[in-house]
Amino acid sequence: MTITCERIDDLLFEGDAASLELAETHARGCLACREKLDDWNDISRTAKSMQTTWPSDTLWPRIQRAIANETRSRAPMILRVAAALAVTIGLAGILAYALHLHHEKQKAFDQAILRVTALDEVERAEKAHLIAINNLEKLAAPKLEEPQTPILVSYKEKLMLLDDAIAECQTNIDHNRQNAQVRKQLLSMYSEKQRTLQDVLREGNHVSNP
Amino acid sequence: MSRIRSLFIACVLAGVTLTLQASQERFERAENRTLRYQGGRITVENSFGEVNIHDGGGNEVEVHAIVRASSQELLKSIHVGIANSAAGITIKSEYPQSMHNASFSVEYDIAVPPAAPVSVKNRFGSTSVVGMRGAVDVNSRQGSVSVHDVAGSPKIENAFGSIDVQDVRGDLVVRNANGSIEVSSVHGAVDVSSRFGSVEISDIGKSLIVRNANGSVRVNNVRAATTIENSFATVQVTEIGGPLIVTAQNAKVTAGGIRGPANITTTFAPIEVYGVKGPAKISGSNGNIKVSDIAGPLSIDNRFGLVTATEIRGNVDVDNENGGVTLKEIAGNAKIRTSFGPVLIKDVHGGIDVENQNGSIAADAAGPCHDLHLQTSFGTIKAGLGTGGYTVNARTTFGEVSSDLPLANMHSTGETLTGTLGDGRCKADLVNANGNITIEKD
Repeated sequence: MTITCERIDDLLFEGDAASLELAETHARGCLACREKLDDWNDISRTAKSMQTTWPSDTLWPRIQRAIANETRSRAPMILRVAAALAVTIGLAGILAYALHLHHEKQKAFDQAILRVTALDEVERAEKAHLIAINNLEKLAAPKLEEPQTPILVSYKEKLMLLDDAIAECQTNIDHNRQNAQVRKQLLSMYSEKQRTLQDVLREGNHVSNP
Repeated sequence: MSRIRSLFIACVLAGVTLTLQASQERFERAENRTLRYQGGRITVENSFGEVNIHDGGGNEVEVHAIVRASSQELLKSIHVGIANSAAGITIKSEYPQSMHNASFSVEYDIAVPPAAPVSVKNRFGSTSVVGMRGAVDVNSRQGSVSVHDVAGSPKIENAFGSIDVQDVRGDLVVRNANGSIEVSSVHGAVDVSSRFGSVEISDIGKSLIVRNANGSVRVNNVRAATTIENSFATVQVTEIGGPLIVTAQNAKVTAGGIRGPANITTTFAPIEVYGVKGPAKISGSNGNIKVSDIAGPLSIDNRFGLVTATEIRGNVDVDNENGGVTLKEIAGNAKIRTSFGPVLIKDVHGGIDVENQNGSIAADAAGPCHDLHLQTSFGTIKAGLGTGGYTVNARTTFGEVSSDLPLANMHSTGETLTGTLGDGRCKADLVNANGNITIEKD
């Protein structure tokens, strides 16, 4: 069978033994096709020398599937950023809520047990009350030693009651220094004692208020 | 992308680190226990912290305790002791005996079967009991106490803190020393005492007793007898279904809408009473007394103050010193003793008997005649005589007696005047010293 140079590429592409034999026959009488056929044979030999065997028959399909998945997961960049932001905001919300709960818990704790800074403030206020009370007590002492009116007797009784309450608070503060309720009570008692002493000083002689 | 992820993780770690650092000095432990209630009293003893007890609905006692402390060691040493037996359940905060520079509290939220009797003892912390159907007994020292919706007869004691009680179907006893008391909607009898705090009470189904001092007392709508003692603060009472007794000192008293008799005493302050369906007895000093709309007889004893009484549907007896007296619209007799103040009487439908010293008298008798006796010294007497007949006998020492009314058998010497008006069946004795006497038509 006689072929032309135009068919030599088709024969090489088909690649079977008959086609290659036919191409060889033609190349014997055609220098251009001879060179083409020699190049083809060189490539074929090199390719055969590079060929290897896969350790597992399923490895290559697995790699193919992975490549396919990778290709599918490569969504547009904007969607990837949006998803990342959504996740970030969600996590930040969860964190904020957790911090809020924690803060509430701390607040409840601080309402039961005073922090050092709050205790300092309370103790400063107590000291201020004590200074005022000491001054007022000196001024009110003459009236209270032998009270001349029923209302002064009543004030004296109230001051004794307040002193008992203050002593009770102080005893408990020795064992429970930062307990908010005890400190609040003591401050309240000091405040009331100060007010009562001021009332005593204002109470010259009780008169009717018709 | 990896940079955003790294930044976010860094923020989270920083937040968690800061939070953990902030909570380093806060040591807290929650203890939750569920106990089967076998009967008996549920007793809670706490010293530092809130106690909240409420109806749990079932037959179990659920204890939720939060222990807070300033150190881990202290936290471990504080226990919630629980004893459960057929005699009852005791829940008690147990602290180490020797503690220095320590701070702690134990807070309770306890759900109990509603019928179980409950006792709470707390020292420094608020106490709340809600929805119990059994007996409730609260003993507090320095914290507020709140008892709501209780079917039994609660007893509440506090020293320095407010007490708030609402919706009690039994009787109620409240004791406080220095704190306000508020009570409302109690079906049974109420007994309240305090020393230095305001008392406010409303809607009581049975009797009420309030003993207070140095704090205002306000009472509204009690369906039975009410007794109030107070000093150095106001007393305000309205809508009492039974007798009312108020004993006060240095306290202004206002009372109205009393369906039983009223007996009110105070000193160094005014008294105002209105709308009493029974007799009223009022005693004061160094303050004005104002009374109106009294269905029964009225008795007033006062010193150093004005007395005003109107719309009295019984007899009126006023004993005053150093103060004027004004009576209007009196259905019964009027008897007045006073000094150093004027006496003004108008529209008295019964007899009139006035003895004054150093004060004028102006009296208008209304309706049919009744005996009239007006006597004073150092003041004028004006007598308005109503319909009916009077036998007039008027005399003064330093002054003049005159009559605008024509008298039969009239005899006048200037300082004396006698005569008859109409049938003369009633006596009109007018006696003065150092002042004129005028007889005029009512």
